[in-house]
Amino acid sequence: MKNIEKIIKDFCVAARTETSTIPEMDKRTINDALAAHEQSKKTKPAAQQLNIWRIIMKNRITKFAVTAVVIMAGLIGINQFDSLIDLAKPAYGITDVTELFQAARTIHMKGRMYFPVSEPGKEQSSVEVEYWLDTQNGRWRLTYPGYSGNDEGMKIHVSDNISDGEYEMHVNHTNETVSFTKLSPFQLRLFTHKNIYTFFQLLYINFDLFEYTKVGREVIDGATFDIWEGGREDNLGTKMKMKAWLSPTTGDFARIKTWRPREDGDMVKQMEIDLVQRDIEIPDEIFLTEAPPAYVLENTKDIATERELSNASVGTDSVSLNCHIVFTMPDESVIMGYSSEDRESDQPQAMLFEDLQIGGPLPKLAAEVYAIKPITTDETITYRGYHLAYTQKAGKFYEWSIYVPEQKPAPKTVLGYKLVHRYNPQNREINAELSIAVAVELEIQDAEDFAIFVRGAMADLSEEGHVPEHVTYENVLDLIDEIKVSVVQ
Amino acid sequence: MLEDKLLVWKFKNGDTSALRSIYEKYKNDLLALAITLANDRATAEDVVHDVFVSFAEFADKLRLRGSLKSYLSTCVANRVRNLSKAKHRQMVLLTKAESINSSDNNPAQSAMSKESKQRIASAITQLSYEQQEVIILHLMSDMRFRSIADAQGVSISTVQSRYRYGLDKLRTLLNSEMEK
Repeated sequence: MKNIEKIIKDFCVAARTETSTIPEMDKRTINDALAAHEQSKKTKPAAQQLNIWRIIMKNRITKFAVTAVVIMAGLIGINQFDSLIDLAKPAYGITDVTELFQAARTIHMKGRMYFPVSEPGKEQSSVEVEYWLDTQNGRWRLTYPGYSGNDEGMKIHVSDNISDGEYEMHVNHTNETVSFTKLSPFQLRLFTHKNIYTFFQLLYINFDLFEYTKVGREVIDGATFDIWEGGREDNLGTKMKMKAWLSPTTGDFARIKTWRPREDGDMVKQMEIDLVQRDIEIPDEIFLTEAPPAYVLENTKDIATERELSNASVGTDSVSLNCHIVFTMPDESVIMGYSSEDRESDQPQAMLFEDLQIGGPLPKLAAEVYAIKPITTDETITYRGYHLAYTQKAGKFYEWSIYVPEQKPAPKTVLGYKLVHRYNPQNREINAELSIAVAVELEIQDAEDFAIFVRGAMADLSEEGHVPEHVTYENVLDLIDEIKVSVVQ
Repeated sequence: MLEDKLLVWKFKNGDTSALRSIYEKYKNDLLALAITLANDRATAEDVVHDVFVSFAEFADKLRLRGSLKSYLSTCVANRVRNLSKAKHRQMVLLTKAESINSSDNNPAQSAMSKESKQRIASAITQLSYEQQEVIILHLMSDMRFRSIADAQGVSISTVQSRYRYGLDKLRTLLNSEMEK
């Protein structure tokens, strides 16, 4: 048999040389293309354009020796609230509201983000931030600033991320560029869920690290709001503070403020959210993914591709390691999907996944993540990895491992995980050490979460959505128990 | 490539004949690509039409990073992929493969024997779409792996893996066909 590559090449060359369009198609295509070009030159309405960057340009740039990227804020439709507290309804506390917002059809928040200053008494510059979310249709619009800087000064960047339920448009207002990414149905669902979670983390609402106290009550526009304060200072060097005005009747916020420490330790403003709305009707125009006039397109929807799920990745010339997604189970065990490719090997990866046992050793991937360590105050804790399943998509293999805490109880408060890996074959020389930490992504609380997110992620990284049947919530919990018993013995 | 850049520049500056030149230059290659990926001529014609209309619509704003041919080829591949997902492509392809291969629309018909073409086309439809795309873009549109990786938003090693495993599967499929 001839070389397969040549056979296919011949097939392709024949296809190219013997295919031709018909005149009717040529005429229709040219006419429609020219018409589309003419139409595109007409000015689009300015109402949809954002002017955030103009606001930024008016603000004073302050010096600060730090690089960071931060996100935004929101506000409350105060006039929505009843002025009378209905005693028959449950009273909402600061730790009760996450579920309310998770169940919301739509969410809208608006406020300002403040930038750090290095000197006491210096006025903080700020930028408007806004967040729209349509949970039913996987649409969102996030307007957020970031900043970078050094001794020479600080530079503020503003971006929009807009999802129309199919494509995500990233608008960089600093460079005036636009790029598109296509989102899979699972990614839409995941990102919608994570958006709410991430946002609450940014505002320190129901934040694991915080302790909250109700410090007072205030009437705003005729409605009563409990004032909650939360904060934390621990040996991680983390010092944060938040204050929220929360209706005990409706569970809605009137106002949220957060502070962070300045270099000298004094607290400075970080965010002020003064509008938070739930279940409002959001105009479709908010989620339009049309580039602002005069902005340069980095790509178009036509060539936008689905982004592979990815939490963090590293690589050298010879080995790559990509952590795709991380889930925390109720007992703090962790399920992680990752892949590793050996760029120097021609050996099919399929061989590495033969004869693997559920709950047994991991496949000998080029970078084998045999354990993880939680990023917390106690760095002696280790979660050992065991094989759970694998999936395959387009010739690429994804390992799904379960990491079970050993020796000590797993901490409830974890900021992320450091991956502990070894190279295979173990005597290989790597020109650079891979170091990787991953963020806590999602906490799985029940079988429904597991089915949607864990099995959903596996389907997303699997040929035709195939997920191994044994990967169920109950089976995984049983497996974790078995592993813990075997470790003790 | 310089010629393409000049054509795009002219089109952006109001020379509509430049668009005609671009279309004439690439229409047949893109149609062949679309037919091979979609396995249906009518669908392929619509795809090529839509790609050029979209290109004309956004040309003024577009910043081309690679070659125009790569851009247009990627547009075609993505449109076919999106259409295919909506129509449960694999099932459609597998059932259509035989009839399409025996039709007059098959581009490879006269260059190869009917039997060879039928076997190859049928084997290609049995690959995952990602593998098909890499192989066809590389061998038909002459796109480098780096360009395909950029277009697909994956690493070059992933593209190379798809290519290698795809060819391995084609070799197996075509060998088993011959043994029957």
